[in-house]
Amino acid sequence: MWHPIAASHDLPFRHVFHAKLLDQEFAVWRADDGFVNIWQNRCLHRGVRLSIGINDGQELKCQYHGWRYANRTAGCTYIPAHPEKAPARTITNRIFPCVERYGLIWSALEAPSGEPAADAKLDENPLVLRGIAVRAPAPRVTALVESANLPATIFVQPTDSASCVIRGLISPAPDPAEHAKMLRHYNDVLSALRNAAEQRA
Amino acid sequence: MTHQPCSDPVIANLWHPIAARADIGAGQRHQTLLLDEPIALTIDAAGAASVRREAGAAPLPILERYGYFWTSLGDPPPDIFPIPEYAEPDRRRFNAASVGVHVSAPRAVENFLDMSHFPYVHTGILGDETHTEVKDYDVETSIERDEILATRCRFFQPISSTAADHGMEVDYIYRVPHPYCAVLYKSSVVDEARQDVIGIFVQPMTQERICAHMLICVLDERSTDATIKQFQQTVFGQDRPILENQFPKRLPLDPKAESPVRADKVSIAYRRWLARKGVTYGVIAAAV
Amino acid sequence: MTLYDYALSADGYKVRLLLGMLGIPHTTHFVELYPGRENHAAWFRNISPLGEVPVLKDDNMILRESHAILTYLAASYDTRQCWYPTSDPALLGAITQWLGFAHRLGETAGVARLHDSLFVTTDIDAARAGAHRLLRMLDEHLWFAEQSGQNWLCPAGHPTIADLAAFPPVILSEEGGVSRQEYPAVRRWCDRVKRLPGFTIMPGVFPAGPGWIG
Repeated sequence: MWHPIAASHDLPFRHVFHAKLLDQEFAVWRADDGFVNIWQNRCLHRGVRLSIGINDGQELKCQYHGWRYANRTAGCTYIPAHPEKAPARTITNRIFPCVERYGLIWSALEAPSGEPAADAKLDENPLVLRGIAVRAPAPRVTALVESANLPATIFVQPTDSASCVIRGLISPAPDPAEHAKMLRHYNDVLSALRNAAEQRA
Repeated sequence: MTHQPCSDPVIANLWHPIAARADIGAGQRHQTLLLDEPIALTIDAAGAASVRREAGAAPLPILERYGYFWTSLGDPPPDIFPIPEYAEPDRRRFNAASVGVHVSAPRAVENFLDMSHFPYVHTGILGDETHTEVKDYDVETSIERDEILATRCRFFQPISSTAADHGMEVDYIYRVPHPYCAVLYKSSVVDEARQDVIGIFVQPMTQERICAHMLICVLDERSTDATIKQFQQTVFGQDRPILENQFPKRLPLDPKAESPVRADKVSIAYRRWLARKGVTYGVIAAAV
Repeated sequence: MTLYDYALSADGYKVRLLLGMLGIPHTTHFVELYPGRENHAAWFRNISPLGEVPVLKDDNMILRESHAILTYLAASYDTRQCWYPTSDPALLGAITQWLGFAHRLGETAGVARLHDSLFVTTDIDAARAGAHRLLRMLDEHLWFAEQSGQNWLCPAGHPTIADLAAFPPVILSEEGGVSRQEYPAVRRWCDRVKRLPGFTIMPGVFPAGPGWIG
């Protein structure tokens, strides 16, 4: 099943985004050619998080020993301790599915069927609301979102059993002159919802 | 609160460091954690030390070696591994720091044994990106001395120590005489025939949390103690976020769990050594 | 100019950042806070009565408190008057407001870091909860700043000493068990700070890779 794990604007130039879905950590990075990589957040060498590594536009370099992994293939291309040797082809990071649509980045733990949010009948370019991290389980937050009955399309991304991220879209997007006010409004509404969810711990 | 005593007899029956003498004043009590158990070290007005479990029972065994207090929750050997250089009077000998890290003891030891990270984690100090190759070296696991020795290690270092004023290739020897302790010997800038000795003695507070005590035993005629400590603390401070971003926190002993290369020879030997000893604390045992 | 400093001091790092960005030549006198507690030695208490680091000595002036040192250095040495524009009262107000915020970060995230690394006694749960409260607020502030084309804490179009004051306790928060995984706007801001010309690291901070500031 597809879940949104980031917004497109969470992947600026040469950044590495640290995402989490159902207890799985991801290192998410956009290469200079626009391709979005979603990898298991663990260098295969000694288990250091790739999300603290360096995105140089073509490769992700691990912070520990400088191992480099290629855009798209996730294969290790260079091991500095042995600069003359080509790394074994088996040294390839675990890749997760990725679709960038509706201003969000979507992924899944297993091979998902269909397209993300196919039922929601969304516009191509909705207004992407600020993602709100909540320290409460996704089912509780989903219930609160549903009873709030907001005129927005809300997805609740389950990061782990105790937390989630509320990712909302306004589709169709309103007039650009309204964006700032609407982003503020929904930020306040969803933050209040977050506070309510967290208080019921 | 009840505490599960450490169920790993290999680890429980060892000496473990708990504090540097210099850090605890006379008449003071130092509370800490060892193998998940709260313990307290007390130094009386005369400077005599004793250790007990918090629950106030009988005193635990205690030894003072290399400037540290060592204790055991089981039946330890008669003494701690030897470091003959510590007795040499012209050396600068002290605890550089005792630092808490959220990682297992074996991960910390492995990091101490590793050279390939020097250009990336200790850039401009212990390595730089123009010299990343780790040349072949030798590893011996000695049953008789019950330790691992890595020799013929060498690496180019821009600033190898506080005594160095230019970059040079430095010779290293690594020694692991205890599952949670490692000692390195590196060529001295002051005397070609001798070596600087730096030790990491890891206190296992829990399986995934440690206090790393760093012994300095070096030749340096011009730097102050503070300068040498600052150098060591800087280097270790650079390792800390790497260790805290490593997963799993416990060291996997299954050779298929991670992807070592030839430069990791000593770490491969270390994992095998821990597995053969039957260590279970702070590690993830290999699938049978 | 002499800076009394300690390599692992987050407050000292605030000053080192500005000294590096302004390119001001200076000497550093290391004070061994730990384990030697040299900051409590009589000679140091004479210049810093509370034993705090950093302390700046410039000609005959001695100044302690990292934020005070930042304002002095920026006002005296920044010829472009960007880091602390003394002619812009509204901006000075905003900067001082965020210096206060940076101080609170030190009292929460900073204290958590000292607890986890040097076993300083504190209510660690309260320190971490306080840090998360502040980071949550910071993430919201930075997200909305980005929406209006601003990349820094204050709406100046360029960084100020407020950014340098807040950066160290934020970037070192994980050393106190305070993860920044929930704060994407904060993480982007940290990348931007790391790419400022003259940026320097300290133990615990990794440099950014190649890339321009957005």
